[in-house]
Amino acid sequence: MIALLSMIIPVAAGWLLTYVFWRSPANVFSTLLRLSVGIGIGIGLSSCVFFLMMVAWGPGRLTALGADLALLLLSVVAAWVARSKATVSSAESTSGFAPEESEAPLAGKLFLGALILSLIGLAVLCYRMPHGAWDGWAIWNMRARFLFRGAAHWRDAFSPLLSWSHPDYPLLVPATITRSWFHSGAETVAAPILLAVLFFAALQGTMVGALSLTRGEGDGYLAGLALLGTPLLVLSAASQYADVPLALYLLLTAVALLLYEQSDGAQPGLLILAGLTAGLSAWTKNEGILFSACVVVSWVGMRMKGARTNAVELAWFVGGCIPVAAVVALFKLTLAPPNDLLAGLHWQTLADRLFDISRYGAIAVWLFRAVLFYAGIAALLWLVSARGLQENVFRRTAVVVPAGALVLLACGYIAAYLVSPHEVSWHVRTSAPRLLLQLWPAVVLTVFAATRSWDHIDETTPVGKRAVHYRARQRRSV
Amino acid sequence: MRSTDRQSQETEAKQRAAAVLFGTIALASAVVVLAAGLLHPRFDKPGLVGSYEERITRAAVALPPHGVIGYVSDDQRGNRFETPRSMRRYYLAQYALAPRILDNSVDHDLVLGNFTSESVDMSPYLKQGLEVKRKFGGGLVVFRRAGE
Repeated sequence: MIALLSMIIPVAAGWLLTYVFWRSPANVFSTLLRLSVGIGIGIGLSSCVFFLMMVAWGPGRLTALGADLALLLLSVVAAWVARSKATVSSAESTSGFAPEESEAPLAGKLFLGALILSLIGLAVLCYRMPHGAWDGWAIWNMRARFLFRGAAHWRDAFSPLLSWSHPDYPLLVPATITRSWFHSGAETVAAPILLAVLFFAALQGTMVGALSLTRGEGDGYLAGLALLGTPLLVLSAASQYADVPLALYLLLTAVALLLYEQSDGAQPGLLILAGLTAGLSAWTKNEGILFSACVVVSWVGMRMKGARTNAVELAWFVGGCIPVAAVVALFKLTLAPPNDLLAGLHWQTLADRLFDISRYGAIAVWLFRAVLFYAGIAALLWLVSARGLQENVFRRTAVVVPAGALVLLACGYIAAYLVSPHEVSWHVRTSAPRLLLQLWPAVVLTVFAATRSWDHIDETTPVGKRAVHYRARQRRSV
Repeated sequence: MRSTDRQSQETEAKQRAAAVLFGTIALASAVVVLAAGLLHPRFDKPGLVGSYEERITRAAVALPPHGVIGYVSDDQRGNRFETPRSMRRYYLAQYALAPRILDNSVDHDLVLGNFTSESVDMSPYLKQGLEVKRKFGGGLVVFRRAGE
């Protein structure tokens, strides 16, 4: 119960902060999305503040309480200031968010059914693995134990002797669990389980809420079904892996860009939100650092809006990213040991690995096998085939920037496998399905955002051609 | 008018087809997850990590509250783990004994012996300058460096 209460303050703070970044029409989907974003940024920021206070005063119950109060105060003040400074009229600022009127009773019912079944499955798995699966307890929960039990010796968590547990990984998940334990006054498996369930729920809520707002209810439920159609997502949540929180932050970044586009550029706060969530991805796992860099590179490479507009928008994004990036930098520079993939990497070794053709083959084989975990890919391909891409898709920031960043990130993963000091088949086999999971929600969102609506027929696609032929035949027979 | 109606019907049909496709995949996935949770032997039984932890933490009374402690087991060769199981036993011991750091080596003043059974021959470790400080049963031993 106290574990639940310990999450309420950060989520409430996150909820308030969403009003700083985003004005929206009041409906069920914007409420759902606001709550989901609140979970993501509230929990993420509370872990940042807790970490900073821990560095200053050491871990403890007062530190946890102080961090929560500081964040709550900050968010109340920020929401108050944002409210008083709001100059754009509500009608103007939210004009782009009107959802398409599309009744989706079947998709909605199927989504509800699949969600209930998935939650039952998640509950059963959490019961059977209360400490999570291997990486859950061996990395994230163990790090939380060091922070909670360590007292003055909490920095032992980052000893190079624990290199097998990746002590260089950022602290969003362990710091949140530790904060919850300090509130409870004891270690309890409820804290990591609750955290995993919250991130899982936020992932669903973000996907359904964002696409229902911007593309219509039908697309929202379909995209939610695409997520639920990935057993690995529920398994990873129950395993208490940080890949699910990371997937949420990648998705939130893409969502913020989509909402910004829908507002016709009237809400630059959404770009700050995109930067903030990208920063939080970097505070979750090392892959998030690469993702943030990929977003910037993708943005710089984008040429459709003109250099000045691009630069201004990028500046908003980077401005949102900087506070959390500073926390990550503090952690990396003062506490974290060298990364196991990069430590001891010499030019000769690098060249040897890069020119070893067998590594490419092993990576291709195991990546292909990892892709087979995602049955939803086939459904997405069908969707693209049936609806076609929008005409202006390659001129849209909300599609090009996330898509470019995700492709660059995937290339980064392949590069990491190529130079990995570990046996490459083992490395790819054991990690690739989870790495793809990090990208998957943002990929689903981007595909839905890039395709046309159902009532538009693109005559260039095979399905479109058949539809036009069918219509013509019907017309003749009439 | 008819054309508009037909177009609307086509759109609805496509939406239904999409809902059925995505819904089937999602429901199948949910059933797989549920079955995995209920049936799959790979997953831990309730409290498995917890019961292992109870065994290991009995040794905590003979160990300092923090610092580096050595680790040795009979299911590894030198400091190399022979099987994923032996690696798992070491990781679980570290998980249980945090914030102490378990170094997979005997070159320490205190060494945790995490053996697979009570009857394991400990003479190889005694020859490396260790002596038994305390036995906890079930193959769990704390060694100390002889003469310390």
